[in-house]
Amino acid sequence: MDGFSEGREVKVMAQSFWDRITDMSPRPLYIILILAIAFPFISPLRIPISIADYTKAAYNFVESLPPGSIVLSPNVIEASCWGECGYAWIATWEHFFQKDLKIVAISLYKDGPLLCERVIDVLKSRGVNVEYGVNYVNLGLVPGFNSAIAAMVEPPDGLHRLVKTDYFGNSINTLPLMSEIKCIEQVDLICSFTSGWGEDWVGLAVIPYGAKYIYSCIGVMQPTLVNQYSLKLCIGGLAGLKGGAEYELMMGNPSTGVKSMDAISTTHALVIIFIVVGNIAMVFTRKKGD
Amino acid sequence: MSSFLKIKEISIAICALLGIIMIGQYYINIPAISTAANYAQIFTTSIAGFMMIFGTFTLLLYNYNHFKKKTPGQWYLSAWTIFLIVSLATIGLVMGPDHFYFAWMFENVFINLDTAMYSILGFYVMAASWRAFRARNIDATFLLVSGVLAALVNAPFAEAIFGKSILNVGNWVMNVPTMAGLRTTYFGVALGSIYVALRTFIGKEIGWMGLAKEER
Amino acid sequence: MVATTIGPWIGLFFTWAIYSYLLYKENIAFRFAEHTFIGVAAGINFVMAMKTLQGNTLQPILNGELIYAIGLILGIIILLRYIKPIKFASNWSMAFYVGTTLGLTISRLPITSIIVPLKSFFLPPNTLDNIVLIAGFFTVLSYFIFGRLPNKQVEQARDYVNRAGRLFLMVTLGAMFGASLLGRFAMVIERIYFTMRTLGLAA
Repeated sequence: MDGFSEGREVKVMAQSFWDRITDMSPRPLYIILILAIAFPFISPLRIPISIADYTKAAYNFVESLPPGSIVLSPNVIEASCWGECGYAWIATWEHFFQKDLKIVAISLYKDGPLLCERVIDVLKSRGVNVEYGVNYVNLGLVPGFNSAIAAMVEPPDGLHRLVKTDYFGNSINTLPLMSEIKCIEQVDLICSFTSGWGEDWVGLAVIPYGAKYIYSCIGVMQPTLVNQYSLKLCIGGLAGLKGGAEYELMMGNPSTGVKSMDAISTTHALVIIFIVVGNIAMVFTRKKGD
Repeated sequence: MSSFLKIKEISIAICALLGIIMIGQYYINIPAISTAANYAQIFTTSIAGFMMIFGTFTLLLYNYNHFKKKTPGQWYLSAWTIFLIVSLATIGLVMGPDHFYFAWMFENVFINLDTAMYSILGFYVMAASWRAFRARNIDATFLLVSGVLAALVNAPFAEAIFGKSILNVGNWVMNVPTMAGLRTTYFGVALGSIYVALRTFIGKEIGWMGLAKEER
Repeated sequence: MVATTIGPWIGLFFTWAIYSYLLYKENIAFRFAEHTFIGVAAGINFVMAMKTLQGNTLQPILNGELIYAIGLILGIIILLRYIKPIKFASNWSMAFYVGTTLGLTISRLPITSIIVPLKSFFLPPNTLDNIVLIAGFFTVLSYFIFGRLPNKQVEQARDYVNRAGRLFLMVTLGAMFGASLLGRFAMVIERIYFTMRTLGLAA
C-alpha cells in the first residue's frame, strides 16, 4: 500500500469515530444517567446548597404570620409532579402547622385531594398535630381552574357558595375552620403548588384584593417565579425540587429533598459534559468535512 | 323551531354575553353584575365536572369498540382498561375514595405510573444533550451558554467547584436578559390571547363548537 | 430495608415496565403499564368528578338552593353530545364554559401581562441592568410584532434590531431550558430513589 492511500484510510477512521460517538444508540446514555442518580444515594456527596432569595422571602413571611392565621393552599399539580413539588409541599405545610397556622386545602386538579392526604399522612408520621376541621380542611376537587379561583375569592362568601362539602362529604357548616373563612378577605396567605403559570392567582386574587401569595412551582416554571418575584407579584416561592430542599434546610429538617440535590448535581454535570462532548464532536466532524 | 335552535349564533351570543359579564365584574363594581358573574363561575365548575365525566365515557366507548371488534393486539388491553375504570368507579363511588382499594391503587399504581411516564422526558433530555444541542451558529451558542448558566445556578456542585462568581453570572442572566425576553414574550402572548378571545366573542373563531366544515 | 409489602413491588414493576420502552423497545409489559395508567387515571378522574358534583351541585339543590340546578342542567346538556339529533344543544354549555373562561382570561391579562411588565421597563437608563432590560424589551417586541416593514430604507435598521431581539429570545429560551432540567431530572431521581428504597439500597 502506498503512503497516499494509507493517509486516506486514517482520515476515514477518525471521521467515523466521531460520527459513531454522536450517532450511537442512546441506551448507554440512559444507563449512565441511572447510575449517576443512584451513586449519590449510596455514597452521599453532601454538597452545600445555597438558598435563593425568593425561598428566603417565602420562609420569612411565613415566620412573620401570627398563630391562627389562615392559609389557603390550592394545588394544581398531577401525581407525576410529586418528585418536584412533593418535598416543598411537605416542608411548607410542616412549617404552617409548626406556626399554628390553619390550612384550607383545595384542589383544582383530580390528583390533588389524594396528594393532600398523602402529605398529611407524612406529617402525622412525623408527629405533627393535625386536627381535621380545626387546623386543616381538605375541600376536595373543584374543577374549572380560572372559574373556580374567581368564584372562591369573590366577597362576601364566594368560597361558601362554591364549595358545600369537603373531600370526605362533610358539610362545610360542620367544620369550625370553615366558619372563619368565607372568601379571600379572611385569607392571610395563599400558598399554591402548581405546574402552571400561577398568573391566575396573581390576576384574580393578588392584584384585585392585595392577597399575599407564595408561588410553589415546578422546575420548568422557575423563570416565571423569578419574573413574578422581581415584579413583586408574589411574596416568594419555591422552585421545584431545589425549592423543597432549600425550605427543608431553612426548617432545620433536611430530608429527602436535600438528599436528592446531590443527584441533581450529578445529572446536571452529566448534561453539561454531554453538551461539551457533543460540540467537540461537531467541531471535529466539521473539520473533517471541510 | 329546531332549525332555529341549531344556529351557531345562539352559542356565539351566549359566549359573548358571559365574556362581557366577566369583564364587567373585573372592572366595574356593581353588585348585580358581581353576583351574576359569581354564579356563572360556579356553574362553569359544574360544567367542567361534567366534562370530566364526558371524557371518561368517551374513553370507555373507544376501548369498548376495540374490545367488540377484537382488534388484534389491542382488545385484551382495552378489556383491562375497561375493567380498571369500572372497578375504580364502582368502589370509589360506593365506598368512597378513602376506601382501601381506591387509595391503594392511587398510592402504589397511579403515582408510580404517572411519575414514570413523565420521567421519560428526563432521559430524552439526556439523549438530546448528547446529540442535538450544538452551537452551530450564534443564536444556538447564545441559547446553549444561557442554558448551561441557568443549569449551573440550580446545581449545587457549580458553587462548590467554581465559587460564587458562576452563581452571580447565572443569576444575572436569569434576572436581567431572561426577564427582558420573558416579560416581552408574555406581553405578546397576552396580546394574542386577547385577540383570539375577542375573535371568539364576535364569532370569527368557532372551532370550539366542533362543527363540520359544511355547518360553519 | 427491602420493602415488605406488595404495594411498592407492584409500583416497581410498573416503573420498569415503562422504562423497558427506553432501555429495550416497545413490548407487552410497556403496553400493559400504559393501559393500566389510562384505566386508573380515568377511574380516578370519574370518581373525583362525581364526588365534586354530588357535594357542590347536587347537595345544595337537595337542600333547597335551586339556583344550582342551572349548573346541573348545563352540565347534563354536555353529555347530550352523544345523542346525534340533539348534539347541537351541547354547544350552549360549551359556549357558557368558553365565554366565562375567556372573559376571565382577558379581564386579568391586560394588568398582569401587559401593564405591570410594561411599567417595569420604564426605567432610567443609568445602570447596565436597566439598559439591557430596556434594549431587550424593544428589540424582542420589534422581532415579534413589527416584522417586515415595507419601507426598504428602514429594512437594514430593522434587521439589526430584530437580530438583537432574536438573541435576547435565545437567552430566554436557553434559561428556560436550563431551568427545565431541574424539573425533568427531579422526576427521574424520584423514580430511581423509589427503586433503591424498595430494593433496600437506600434509606
